[in-house]
Formats: sequence, C-alpha cells, structure tokens
Amino acid sequence: MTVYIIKRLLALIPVLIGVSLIIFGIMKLIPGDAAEVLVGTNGSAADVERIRETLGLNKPIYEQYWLFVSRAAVGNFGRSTQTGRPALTEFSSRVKPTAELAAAALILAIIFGMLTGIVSAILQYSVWDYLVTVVSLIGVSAPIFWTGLMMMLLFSVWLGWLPATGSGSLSRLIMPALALGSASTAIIARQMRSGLLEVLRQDYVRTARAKGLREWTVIARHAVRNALIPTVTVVGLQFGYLLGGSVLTETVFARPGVGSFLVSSIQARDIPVVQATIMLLAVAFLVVNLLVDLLYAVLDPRIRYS
Amino acid sequence: MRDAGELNRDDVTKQSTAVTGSAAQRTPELAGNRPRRRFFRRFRRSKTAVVGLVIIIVCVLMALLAPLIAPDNPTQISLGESLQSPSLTHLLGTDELGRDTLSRLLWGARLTLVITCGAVLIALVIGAVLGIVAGFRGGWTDTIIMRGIDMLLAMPTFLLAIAIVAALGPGTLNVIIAVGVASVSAFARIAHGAALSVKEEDYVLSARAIGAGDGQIMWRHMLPNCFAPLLVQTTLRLATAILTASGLSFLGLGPQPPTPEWGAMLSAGRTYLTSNPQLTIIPGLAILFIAIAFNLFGDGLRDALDPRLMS
Repeated sequence: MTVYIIKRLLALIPVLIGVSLIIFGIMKLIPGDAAEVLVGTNGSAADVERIRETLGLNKPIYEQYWLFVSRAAVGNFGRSTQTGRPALTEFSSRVKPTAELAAAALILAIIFGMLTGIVSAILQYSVWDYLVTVVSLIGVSAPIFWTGLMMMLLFSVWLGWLPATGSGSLSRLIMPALALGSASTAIIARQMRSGLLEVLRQDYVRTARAKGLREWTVIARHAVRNALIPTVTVVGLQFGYLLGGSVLTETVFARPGVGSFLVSSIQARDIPVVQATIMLLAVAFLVVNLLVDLLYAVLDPRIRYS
Repeated sequence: MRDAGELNRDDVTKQSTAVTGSAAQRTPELAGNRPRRRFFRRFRRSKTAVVGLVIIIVCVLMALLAPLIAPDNPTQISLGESLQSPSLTHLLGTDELGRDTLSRLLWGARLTLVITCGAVLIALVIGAVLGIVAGFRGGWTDTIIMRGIDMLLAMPTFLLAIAIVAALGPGTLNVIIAVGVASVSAFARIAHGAALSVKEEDYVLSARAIGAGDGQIMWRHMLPNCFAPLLVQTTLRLATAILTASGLSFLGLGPQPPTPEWGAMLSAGRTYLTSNPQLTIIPGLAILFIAIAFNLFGDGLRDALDPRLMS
C-alpha cells in the first residue's frame, strides 16, 4: 500500500507539469502582457520595460515557463495587481468559505444521492423511483446559478427563513450548499441506482438470499458495498465540478470565497491571482481524486496494490 | 412493472416479425437498412426521447423564426415601459430598460443555441480528429496525444473554460472557443476508444489490403464506424455546454449588453429578484427546458444505438 501511494504521488508530477503548462499557455494568450496591466494607462514605456525586466517577461518563453513553475512550486505566484499582496496570501485568506461550501455540498450530495439511489433501486418502477428519475433529470439540467437564485427567492425573499447572502454561519451555508450540490446529488443517485440494479442481478446476491440472509443484510452487506465502487469514482469527479460550480454559487450568494474573488480578478485582469487560483484549485482536484483512488483499497479488498 | 412487461412483449413480437421477414427479404439493400430501421423503432419507443427531440425542434424553430414572430425589437429601449409585469402588450413583461422580455427570449434562443452548438462542434471536430489519429497511429503519437488529453481532463471543465475566457477576454466568440476547448477531452477519449475497437475490423484490414491510404482509412472507413458513440456524446454534451456557456455569460464573461442571451438576461434580471422575479425565472426556465431536452434526447439515442442495452 505504501509503495502504491508513493507511486501515485510520483505519477502526479507529470500531471502537475501538464496542468501548469496549460495554465501558463492560456495566460500567454492574453493580448499585451502583465507589465502593461500593472503599469496601467498612466505609466511610461520605461516603466513597462522595467516591470518586464523584474517579471522576466523579456526572456524567451521556456525561461518564462521555468520561472513560473519554479516559483509556483514554492508557492510564489507573484503579487496581486489589485492589492499588491502575494497572490497566494489572497488565495489562502479566502479559501475557508470555499472549502466549507464545497465540502458541505459534497457531503449533502453523497448522503442524499446514495440514499435516494439505493431506495430507487430497491423500489424499481415504483412511484418513488419515477419521482427520483424526474427530479434527478431536473437536477442535472438546471443551471446552478438559477437554482441558487430560485432558492433565494423562496427561502429569503418570500418565506424569510434564511439570510440571502454572506458566509460564516450554518444558516448562510445551507442554500449555497444545496444549490451547488443539487447536480452532484442527481448524478450520484443515478449512478447508485444503476450500479445497485446491476449488482442485485449478480449470482452472489442470489446466493446470499438463498442461504437465508435477511433482505436488509443482503442489500447493505453484499449489494450496496459492491455498488459503491463505481459510485466512488463519480464522487471524486464531482469534486471538480463542485470547485468550478463554487465560482457561480459564490457569485450568486455573495460569499467572499476563492470563486467570487476569481471572477473579480478576471474583471480586474489580475493575472497572478487568476493563475494562482486556477492552479491551486486544479491541484485540490487532483489530490481529492488521489484520495478517492486510495479509498478503493478500503472498499474493495479484491484490489491489491503493489 | 407494467411498462416493462409491455416492452418485453413488444420485443418478442418484433423479433418474430424480424425472423419471418428475413427469409422473404434477403436482398442486400434491405439488409443494409435494417440497423437504421431498428434504430428508429427503438428511438420512437422511448417517449421521453421523442419529447426531448420535440422541445429541441421547437427551440430551433423559435430561434430561426425570431425575426418574424418576436413582437418587438429585442434591443429597443423604452424607459417609460421599464419593469412591467406580464400583460397583453408585453406577454412576459419588460426588463429594466423597458425591452420586451418575450422578444429578448426568442432572439436569445438564437445566440444561446449558436454558442452551444458552436462549442460542441469545435469539441467534436478536434476531439474526433485527435482521438482517431491517436488510435489509428498508435505508438508515440498515441502516447503524446492521449497524455495531453489526460492533462486537460485533470482540470475541472468549468475552471478550464473560465481560464480560457479570462485570457481571451469576454465575448460571444471567446465563450464558444472556451467551452469548445474545455470539452475536447471527452470527445477525444470516446473517439480514441472507438478507433481502437474498429482498427482491427475486417473492413479496415481489407481497405488496407486494396491499398487505401492512411487518411482514407481513417476518414472513410473508421470515422463512420465511430459515429454512434460520438453522436450520443454530442447530444449529451450539448446539455453540459449550454450550462457552462450560460454560466460564463452569467458571470459577465459572455456576450456583452445589449445582446440578448439567456445567461446574460438572467444575470441582469437578478438585480430585480425581489420586485420582478419573472426576469430571473423566465430565462432560467428556458435554459432548464433545453438542457432537459438535450439530456432526454441523448439518453434516448444512447439506448437506441447501444446494442448491449437490447433487452
């Protein structure tokens, strides 16, 4: 297992290099360069030249990439052009509301998604199953920002139950987490349902029933545990969706997190912050997927890593 | 349960007609037609897929006929009529600048569909070419292309799209490019898998034996046989693409005012969420319906095209 973890960590390195290349390449598409943005309209050509010199922008492109990667590796993404503070500091000071949101959405999605999926599979073709199918179709098709606004309209404007915006308390977390997690809930429920239906047709389930186990034991011990394996993959992939969706959700609910800061940084053409935020969110996604792969070993004893 | 029973009985009768029919119609043209007929039969049997297709057709018609059926000019500002509730003169009310919401919705269908389809088309073309070339050539070409695709997959789609549009700047064309490029990896992987599975088929080998060139084998013989999974992915991706694209334009990174587009309309309307909720509700419902339609249609196509699901 230790060997496997080390192998997987080593395998992350080329992926990280690839991701950094993609982000670096995309940012190079920006017309003009960071120096011009930094200097603004009032600066002279000499100012621009001086900043290019400090940022290494007049070096060949591979040297610029090397500079970017070697600095990023130690957490140096440059300074925000809006605040002048290091981009990493800007990111980490806003990471808490985003982490809370993504975690809450993921937990809600896992709990509701798995439960509804399991019940629909057991009660296949029942009214409940039909209802779950319809609701999950809406869940995957509704734009999150719209779902969020509709919840805000219902629970804050009309019913006055929950505060519409901000962060820091549980009552301010419920709506954003539900809005962000709705699509993932639907996807997890669909995967759980079809996975469980597949497993329930297997011989070992018939054997378990034949040897007289109670239905509950058959489902919980034999069926669900096997159906979990494909579902866990889906959960890992959903985390990436949640990170992207947090940008929209935070904008809707005015949560002061990484996502809403990313949007304002894009509008302010604050390239260091945009680069840092996207790179670090991508790293978070990779790490979560690595953890998901490790979770396989716990769930499925048939997988032996060496 | 009743539904399933009916379907099974249906299958049995259809199988028996197919069996008795095959003796009588042993001409090659009819045999060639049979997969297509079977596809249409299975597709029609799925009522939900047909519903999806109908909604898509209605939306496309709305978009095409917008200049004829829209009651007003979608960018005509008349401040005297701003923020009206639905009425006989303005069936869906007016926005903060007094523009007719129904007209903006109809014209918005145009732009929204152009963006969505444009983005998916870019992804399909680039993805299919990369996937098929990688699968056909194998070796180093395969390794380099597919590792590159893996890197793209390592980035969450929406973040990748935001990064691209952040670099290119806001605007309609840039959103199409951003969503398109962010969706390439899904198509490339499917095309790659399909290409690997058809590469060793007899018709590819015989094409090679009669001296067909690489290009001809890839595009004349392999591409049509990779078509089914790519088509299913295309329709399902349309649903994701409309959500991604309208998300970008909700963030103000898409088409700029006064262009009518559903995500941008929703974004402008949310300022008036308390007083005029219909400005937010209506464009959102439009996005929801078309996304549902693409999903239903895509699921129906997948079931109709996938022989493993025949039961």
